[in-house]
Amino acid sequence: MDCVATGANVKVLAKAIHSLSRIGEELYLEPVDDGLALRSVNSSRSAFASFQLSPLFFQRYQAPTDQSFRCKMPIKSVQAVFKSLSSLERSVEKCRIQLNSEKSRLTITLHCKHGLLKTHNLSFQDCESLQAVFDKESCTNVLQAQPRLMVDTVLHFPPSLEEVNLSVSSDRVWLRNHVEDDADSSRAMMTELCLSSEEFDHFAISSQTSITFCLKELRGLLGFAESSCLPISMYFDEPGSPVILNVTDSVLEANFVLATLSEDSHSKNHVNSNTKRPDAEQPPDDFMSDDMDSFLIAMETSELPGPSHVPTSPLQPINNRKHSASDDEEEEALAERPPNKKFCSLFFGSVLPTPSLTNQTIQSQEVLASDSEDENQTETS
Amino acid sequence: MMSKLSLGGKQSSGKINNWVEPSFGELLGGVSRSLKKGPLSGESKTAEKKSRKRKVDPYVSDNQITVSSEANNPDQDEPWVDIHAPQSQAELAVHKKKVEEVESWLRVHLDKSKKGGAILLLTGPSGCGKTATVQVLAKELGFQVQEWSNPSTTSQYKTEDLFTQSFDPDSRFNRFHGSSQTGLFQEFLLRANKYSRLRMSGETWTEDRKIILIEEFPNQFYRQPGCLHDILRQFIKCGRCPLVLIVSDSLSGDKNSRLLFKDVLQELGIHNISFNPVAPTSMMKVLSRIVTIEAVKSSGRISVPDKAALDLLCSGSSGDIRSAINSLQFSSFTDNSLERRLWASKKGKSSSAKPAVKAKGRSKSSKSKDMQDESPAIGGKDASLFLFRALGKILYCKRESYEGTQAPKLPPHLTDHQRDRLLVDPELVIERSHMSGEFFNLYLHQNYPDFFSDVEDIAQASEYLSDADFLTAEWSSRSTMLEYGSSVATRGLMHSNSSRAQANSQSTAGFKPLHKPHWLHINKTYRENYQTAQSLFLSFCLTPVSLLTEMVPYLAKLTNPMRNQAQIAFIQNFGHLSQKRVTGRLRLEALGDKDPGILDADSENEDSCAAQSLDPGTTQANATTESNLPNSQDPSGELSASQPQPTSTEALLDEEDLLIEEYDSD
Repeated sequence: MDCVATGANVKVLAKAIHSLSRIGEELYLEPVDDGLALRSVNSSRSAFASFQLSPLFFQRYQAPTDQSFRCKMPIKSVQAVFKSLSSLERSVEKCRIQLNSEKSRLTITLHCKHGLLKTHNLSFQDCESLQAVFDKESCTNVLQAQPRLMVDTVLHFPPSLEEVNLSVSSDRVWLRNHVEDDADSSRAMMTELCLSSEEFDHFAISSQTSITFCLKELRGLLGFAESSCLPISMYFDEPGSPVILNVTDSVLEANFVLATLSEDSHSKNHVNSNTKRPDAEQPPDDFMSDDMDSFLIAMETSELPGPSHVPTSPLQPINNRKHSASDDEEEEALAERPPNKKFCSLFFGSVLPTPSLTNQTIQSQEVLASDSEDENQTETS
Repeated sequence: MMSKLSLGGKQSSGKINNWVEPSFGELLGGVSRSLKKGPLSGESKTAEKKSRKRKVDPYVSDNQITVSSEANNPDQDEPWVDIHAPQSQAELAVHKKKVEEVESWLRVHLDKSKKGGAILLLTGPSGCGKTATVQVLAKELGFQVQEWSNPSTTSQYKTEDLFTQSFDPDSRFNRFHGSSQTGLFQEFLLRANKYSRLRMSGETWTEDRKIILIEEFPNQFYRQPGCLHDILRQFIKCGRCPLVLIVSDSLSGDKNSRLLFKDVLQELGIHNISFNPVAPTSMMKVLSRIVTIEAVKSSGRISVPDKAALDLLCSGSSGDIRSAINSLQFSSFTDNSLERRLWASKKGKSSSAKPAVKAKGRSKSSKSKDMQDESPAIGGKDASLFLFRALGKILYCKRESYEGTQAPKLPPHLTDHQRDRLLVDPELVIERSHMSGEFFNLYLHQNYPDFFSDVEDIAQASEYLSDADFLTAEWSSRSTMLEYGSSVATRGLMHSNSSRAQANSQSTAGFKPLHKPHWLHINKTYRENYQTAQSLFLSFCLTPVSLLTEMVPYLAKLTNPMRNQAQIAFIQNFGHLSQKRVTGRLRLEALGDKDPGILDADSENEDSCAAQSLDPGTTQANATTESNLPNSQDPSGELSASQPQPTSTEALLDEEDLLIEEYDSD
């Protein structure tokens, strides 16, 4: 086997290997005629990742004569070859991967600038082919989004969070952290984000459903997709069936298959149906929190330009917010939800000190203003 | 330089791999064999599990072994413990009741759909079929086994530098995600518990029921068992499938399972099933079956061992069936050049043992001597002795009579030292008991008087024990002289017993009970007392010996009221060195058959240092007693000695003025 990657493709290859290191401990390598397959699976066999690099990805690609060759190696040793990602693109001109069958070695040679040559000889182990059985066409729900949207969404969850819950309806997506039923609810912090269907490039939901999966493996894919600026497609079905995350390019295809939490007993379905009712009532709460965010941003921006014009405009939102707050209290009689929302908004307001993040929040404000207009129109109608 | 060194290291590791692979590793031939026969799913599982296991796991293989002459060469490199793994309960070498106990537990907890995890703990010596039982039951009852294996952390790469340099400033999302073994274990347990396995290509196994099997524990848990306890408590709350823990006993007892689970067995409701070593009859049956299959398969290339050799293997492995099968595989190959060289080297070892026998001055070797010499040559496991049997071998020293003309002649004035030949090698007995010589001597010292019938013999034996103690008196050469001390003690005891000098002499009493050393109890009491004294009299900053033998008796002589209640009680209890003899018989703790001779929490060096520090203490105590007399005669000296202490404690203990009346009442 002999394949040579040049230029920016070396960085893409390195990013792919770093994404696979989030999944499992071993890298499965399988060169075939239609490209090089890099795969990984975690120790509990609940997450699988596969990168298929076509021959066009490489400047030169030569498949091994032995078609049944496949091997695996510790992913940390491959990761050590492609370390210092920030300087990889600047210094490495070419990357060559060769297979030395006589010595049972995989040779990775990095051709750097100024004639510098780095050669790494990695030992491998023969193994069987590793391939998860999944079918994207049979999934009923399909989402496609730009990686920036997904990264912005997942950034709100703390790194120590293990599981995340994704709920979809006909026009909206909720993402919240999953807390075990036995856990003390007063101690757990609930985080929830709501995304409209207009945020997505492709939104095809045929049934309302809710799936729970681990967040650590998802972060591995998002890191790769963000650096390559490729859209992410999600294919999922009912709870218990695996969710498939796909990133496709003309020369590259990545598939992440994550197992989801299955619900065994009927009582859980009953609890789930109960939880779905507050989902329908949550959009007004989200608008309240959005108004709070816009109010905070308006207060911040009022300091920068002329103050004489700005104080008049916040008065009207305050009056509107009071009326909407009193109306919501009379309608829902839910005393616990508004304090949580206010606390979340105040917390996120204090979390954003950087002006660049403030600008991004302003951009999100512009997007969310249309939602409030939609709500006003629906209320008037 | 670093690259050259790393390349050299890799080359040397490659060479080692090349040497190790023909016996145990997977070759390309092995892969081709898997392609020829056997389902892909079984082979892929075997490959996956083998790669993750550090040690050779004999019972994981799912391959169906078919006798085929075409695949003889690849079979030759497979370990027999993998090829001949048991496929059904009939092939298990485990007692039927144990298998039924495990099966009933699994049936109960696999079919329950209620929330809350169940934990099963399997303990027993290594090689007794714990993992094989779980694998066979998984096949018969129809559930998956999801197994944790410790990740191999390559310390060659510096993880800190690796993750620091892998930081990508272009991405706000990429963070350092290095995780410890404990974190990885917790993640595995969460995902294996809640999430079902993804279906891989080639897998035909579609069972949805499964158990989690843990045989290797992260190293952090042995240092801090609390981490494991917290993870298990969390698992108990939200468990969905059973958790099976397998812990092998160590040679000197069940330290591993006791260390990990002694606190939480009752709290978490862990069900414990302990396995016994494999019975010789079951092992003989398994070895015979393997020999029959391999003889048919090899068609004469393998030398078929006879029944005597199999008996020898069974006795040599002492219940470890993995060791027995490996020894059988090594001893059966005759035509392979590599195995021939290995066998020749082992024959060389066995031939080198015989000159040692000759060097001992013995002209003839008996059957038992042949057996002892031959079992290490085959590669048998070191047989460990329980402490009870080890002591019995020394105290009931068995002998055999010489032939008529072979007995060495002693001069007439040394005829009382005439002894028959020993059947026991005392150095070997101490080695197999897995104890230090000093500790073994403690047990001998406690138990030897019951086995002697003559006071002169007891005097001579105690002389030898004193010589053994003297050999380790010098601290700088103690580590070297320990073995000589134990040799002097054991051989001296066996030689001094004149009632057992002849091989045909009948012992009068059959069974004599053995006891644990009273020194352990005394040492424990001493340690408790000086720790109490140290905590009560912390301000004096004295060593334990000085505190207990000088200061506390001196304080008992004073009428100083500046003491708190606990200190006064301690002084009254321990301060007066009475001259009375301790009457009554000492109650000794009996040594049972299976007692492992557990050391206390202290290390051996601390015990020996504490034991030696007792001797100068008595001398100092006598000096203190003599020095107390002039103090009582001179009242002005006593007052001058007690004056500085009230000034130091007067400010802190003003409320102690009421205690003067108590002393006046005394």
